[in-house]
Amino acid sequence: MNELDVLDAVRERAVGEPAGPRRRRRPVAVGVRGAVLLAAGLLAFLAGAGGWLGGVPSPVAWLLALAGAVVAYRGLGDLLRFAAGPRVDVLFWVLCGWLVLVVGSAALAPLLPLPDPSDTAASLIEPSMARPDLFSSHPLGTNNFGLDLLSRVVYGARASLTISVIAVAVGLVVGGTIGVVAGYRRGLTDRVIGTLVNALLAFPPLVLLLALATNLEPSVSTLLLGLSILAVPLNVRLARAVSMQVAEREFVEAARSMGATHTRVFLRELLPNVLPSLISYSMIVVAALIVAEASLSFLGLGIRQPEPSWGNMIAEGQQGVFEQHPHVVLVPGAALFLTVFAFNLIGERLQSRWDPRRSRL
Amino acid sequence: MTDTALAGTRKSPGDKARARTRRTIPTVRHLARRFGELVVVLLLASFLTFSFASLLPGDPTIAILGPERPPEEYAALRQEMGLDEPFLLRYVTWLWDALHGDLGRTPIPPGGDVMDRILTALPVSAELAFLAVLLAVVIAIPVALFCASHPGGRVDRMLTATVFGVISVPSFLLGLLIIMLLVNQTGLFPRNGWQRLGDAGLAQNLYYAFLPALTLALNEAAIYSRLLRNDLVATLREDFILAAKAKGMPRARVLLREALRPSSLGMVTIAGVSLGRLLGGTVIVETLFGLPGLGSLIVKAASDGDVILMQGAVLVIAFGYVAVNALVDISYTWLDPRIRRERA
Repeated sequence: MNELDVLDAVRERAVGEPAGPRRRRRPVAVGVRGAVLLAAGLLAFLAGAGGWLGGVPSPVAWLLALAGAVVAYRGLGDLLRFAAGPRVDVLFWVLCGWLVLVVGSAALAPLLPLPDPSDTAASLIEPSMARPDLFSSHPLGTNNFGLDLLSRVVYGARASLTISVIAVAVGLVVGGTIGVVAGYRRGLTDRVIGTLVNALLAFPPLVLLLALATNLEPSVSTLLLGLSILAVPLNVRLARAVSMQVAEREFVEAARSMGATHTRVFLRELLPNVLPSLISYSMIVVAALIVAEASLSFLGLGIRQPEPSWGNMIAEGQQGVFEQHPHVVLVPGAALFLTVFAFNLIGERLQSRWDPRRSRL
Repeated sequence: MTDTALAGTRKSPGDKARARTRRTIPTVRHLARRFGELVVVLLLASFLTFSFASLLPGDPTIAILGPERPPEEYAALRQEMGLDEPFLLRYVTWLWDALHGDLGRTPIPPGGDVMDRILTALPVSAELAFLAVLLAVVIAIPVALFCASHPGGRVDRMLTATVFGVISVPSFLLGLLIIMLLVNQTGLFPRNGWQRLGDAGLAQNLYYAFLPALTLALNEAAIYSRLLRNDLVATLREDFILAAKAKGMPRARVLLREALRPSSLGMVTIAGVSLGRLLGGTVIVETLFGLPGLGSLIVKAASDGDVILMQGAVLVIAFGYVAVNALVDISYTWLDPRIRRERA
């Protein structure tokens, strides 16, 4: 045990989670086992998910796919442990990998060899509701209009991520500034801002978006406006709480007594200390906004067909389509779930590293 | 709260006595201030509700008459609806009427009195929210008890990741999966629809409400179980637990009789808050399962461009949320004297 391990063990003991029994195994064996498990798992997953066992999705195929996914995940974990040591956070790195994949393909979407995601005229000749088959021209299958699902998932990610990330950036800059000012100035400023934030937070996210959608045409700019309105008060609340704590610290007092102006204290003392908390929280806000956008599009009031969005792709599975062709829902559903999961978990891990004042969920 | 709850953080007897004499007046003042804040927040929320619908570009008369009518008709309707009045005057009139229980009438079919329609829809959403919270608590308690009694065990270590996994499944996806597994595969439950409690009796009502409530409950259960688990682990380290164990009390009894109650305060608070949040958070589930609640009302208002209905429904939801939150806050202060002292 080196020093870090001891510290870890102490910390875990302190929160009541003693470190589990350490496995002592030769790393090479772990690596080989990982590779074998990964390969076998992937194969089983593809066999199950691809429906090679028969045309109609049977419970056996589902179970096989599920077991395959679990085995492949275990294999990946072994490989990661082989590469980076026994204490590596497997889930974290797997989800990081997924995020890199999604963001990368979304950013490079126009350069990738993908068919058009929304041109229903061109897709007339394509098979409709084709099942996923990795070795065909539509690896993830097609929808009702014969549009390629892989391409739609990638372009859907492009829309979702762009909108959510811009809204979060707006929330971070506007909400963060307002929150830090409120937490530093206190007094009347703080009261006014706090009341406004409480009033804005009285609306459930989706209700707020729907209220805006009543009067405004569904469009990307409407979505951006709505999601930004959602993101700002969340950031204000956090920035206010953190900066209030930071403002009481000695170094701020020291800066003030050496004659630093408010602006200087704000920029040089408060902001650098508040930013880590805000950024890790932003990951979680991105996840929430992706869900909000998807929900709105699911209801037909966000991004509209034929433009793809994960929400409206999942909506295609309603009215009995899902029962016959589950891939129409499961393909965008899996992408949505993994992305939201990744943002949530990475945000939480960053929070526990950067934000000692982490909320109790 | 019983004395056992506070055993671990009990201060010295002198502190306690002093706090008791000082306690009454600050509590009243604290409540009065909370109430003042509450009124201001409600006013602001109503103003925001009205602005969302009225300040934004877009013309409600187009939604009512349809596009491409002669301009005089729009003008006449604007006149009739009072849309040419100054914004603030309209807001005050609207709020005054709303405070008297009149949210106006909507001309968009099926039309009718907005308050009536909200009052018909509200019980559905309220029941759904209540059932969901109840179900979530029922799921969360055993999970948390198990994890807390085996801290660091296999299940416990998976809990955090599982919690994040579950809350990362959007409700429409979860709902569709539940429909696929429990309706189409087994046929145990109805696909959609609703039976009112008054018309069909409790059994029928619950039969139709179960799946929507379950969809809502899983998210909540994940959050509650983590919260309760952490509080339980903290409580189990208290001296009175050690004393109970030392006296030879069986483990199950220690967990259920001694540890659970003092640990459940955090979960009770969160459950209260989610009751308020779910009142407007059932939109997706109601749409998915075809339930005639507030959520469906709002979705219909949004897709019809029905500003009057939307204003009314959003106002009710926002008021409900703020009121429930304030109640939770006050009862929390009342339940746990530690907080009362800190704040006062």
